[in-house]
Amino acid sequence: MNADQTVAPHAGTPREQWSGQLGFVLAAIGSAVGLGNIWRFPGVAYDNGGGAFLIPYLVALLTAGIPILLLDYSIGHRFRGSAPTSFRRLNRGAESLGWFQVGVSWVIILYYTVIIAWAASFTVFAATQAWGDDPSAFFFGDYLQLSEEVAITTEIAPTVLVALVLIWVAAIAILSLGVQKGVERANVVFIPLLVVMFGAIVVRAVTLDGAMAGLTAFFTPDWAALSDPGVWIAAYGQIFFSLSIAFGIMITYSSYLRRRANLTSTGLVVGFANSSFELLAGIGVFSALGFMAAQQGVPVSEVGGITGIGLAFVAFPQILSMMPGGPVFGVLFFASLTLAGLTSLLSILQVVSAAFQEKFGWSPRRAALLLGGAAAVVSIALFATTSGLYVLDIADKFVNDIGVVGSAVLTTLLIGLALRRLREMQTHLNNRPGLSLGAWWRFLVGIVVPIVLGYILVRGVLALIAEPYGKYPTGLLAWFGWGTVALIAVVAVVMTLLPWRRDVDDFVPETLPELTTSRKAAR
Amino acid sequence: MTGTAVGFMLLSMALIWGGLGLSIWRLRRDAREVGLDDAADE
Repeated sequence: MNADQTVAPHAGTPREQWSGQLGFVLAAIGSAVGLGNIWRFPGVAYDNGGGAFLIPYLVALLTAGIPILLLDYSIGHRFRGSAPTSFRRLNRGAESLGWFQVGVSWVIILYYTVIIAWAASFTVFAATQAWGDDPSAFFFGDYLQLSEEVAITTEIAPTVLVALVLIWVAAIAILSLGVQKGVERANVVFIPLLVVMFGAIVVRAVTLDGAMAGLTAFFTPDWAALSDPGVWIAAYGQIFFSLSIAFGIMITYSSYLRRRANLTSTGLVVGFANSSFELLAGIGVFSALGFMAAQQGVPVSEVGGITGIGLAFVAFPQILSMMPGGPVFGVLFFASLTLAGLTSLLSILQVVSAAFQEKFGWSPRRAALLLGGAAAVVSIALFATTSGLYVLDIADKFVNDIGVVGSAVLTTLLIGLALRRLREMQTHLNNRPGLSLGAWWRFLVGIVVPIVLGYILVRGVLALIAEPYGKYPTGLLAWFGWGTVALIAVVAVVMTLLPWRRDVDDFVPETLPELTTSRKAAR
Repeated sequence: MTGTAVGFMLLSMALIWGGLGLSIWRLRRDAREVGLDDAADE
């Protein structure tokens, strides 16, 4: 097969492509900008040195975030396929790593949809401030109907179920339209809308009473934090989890780019756009927290619930109840969360969809219906129940700390150390328009990233072994934590053993002039 | 806001939003100078 040919996963049609560079950039930004940008970054920055966190954060962005992003781009673009296809074409023995990434994505999809469903529900609740005087009791009690006993239940929380079904219908509908007509069009509409809506919220937040106290708390540097290794690890962790890297998304997305696409400059835009949104979120969130502190007559440092679910579904409703124009800005805030989540969800779904399309020759519509339908059933059974929050918390912790970080460590070790193909990837990136990468890129991806992420992985695993995460019962941790990670690994091997419905190995990657020259010289 | 906090807020904005602006400028310059082939692959 000619190197310039791209093969459709299903016979008779050309392989899908983005309509152009802008479509890809918006989709990649949509993938990177997610719930974590809004509810994780502000709290992490505040807890790790405030303004001083900027230094390790930028170092992590430039030495790990963008370099791994470019590695993902090079794999997907060079080998023109989903994660399993690309890794198999890289080396036959590496296909399992691709399926491991698909498995990680699959599990994340199951619980990510339910958080988007909560945000969508709260978009409606915000209009009337349905949470009343006690947002905590409303969210955990009235809405989630969280069971008091920490155990699995089959009792469904009806409002969660309705929202979850609607999110699944929307996601499957968009996914079934394919890359250009579905995923790209959704991002082209949703991302500008997200920026406008969230921008409006931030402008309102910084004009609230007490906002300046919040911003002072957020940006005042604690220089001592810079000598704490934990702060640097937090910065690498934030960049790593925020950028949607190393679990198949950017491999899949870049495989739909044209041959001559600019990969390196695009990577910089996506990396900095993600951080720009995080900074915007930090300003908005801490202005709002400053307002809440002023209303309660306490310092910002005494305000609780500054990250995660507590921030979004408890603290923010409290703030919205206090502020003028609360219903309007509440709708904007939760609609922003919904859109940020949905665009990220589409990218994770595409990882799974593309892998099955290519392995089994399915059409986008068939993959969306079969895979989306199956995931929807599991997602509803596990997370629309009154014990859904417990399962979500456990699965999220284990899949991220072991699955995603492990996948990144394995990818960099495989390409950098075992196969020694980093130079090839570098040449591929440099063999098209954009910034030229030097040996520093190989040093970062081949040495710095495996060491830093390897440390984060080992530390995370040891912490999970040392004491039960969140004091959950051992049975729950075994099934939904360790069991989930083990199941992903087993399924990855099984999927690798299943036969391909098309000739995946009949592929010749683009000839790279510099590599040809150096090989000839070596002879 | 204290002067230090204002300084760090402006510095963060300059580095991160400035970085985004520069990246976009570079991408557009590449597209102008080299010419991106936006025609679909064969």
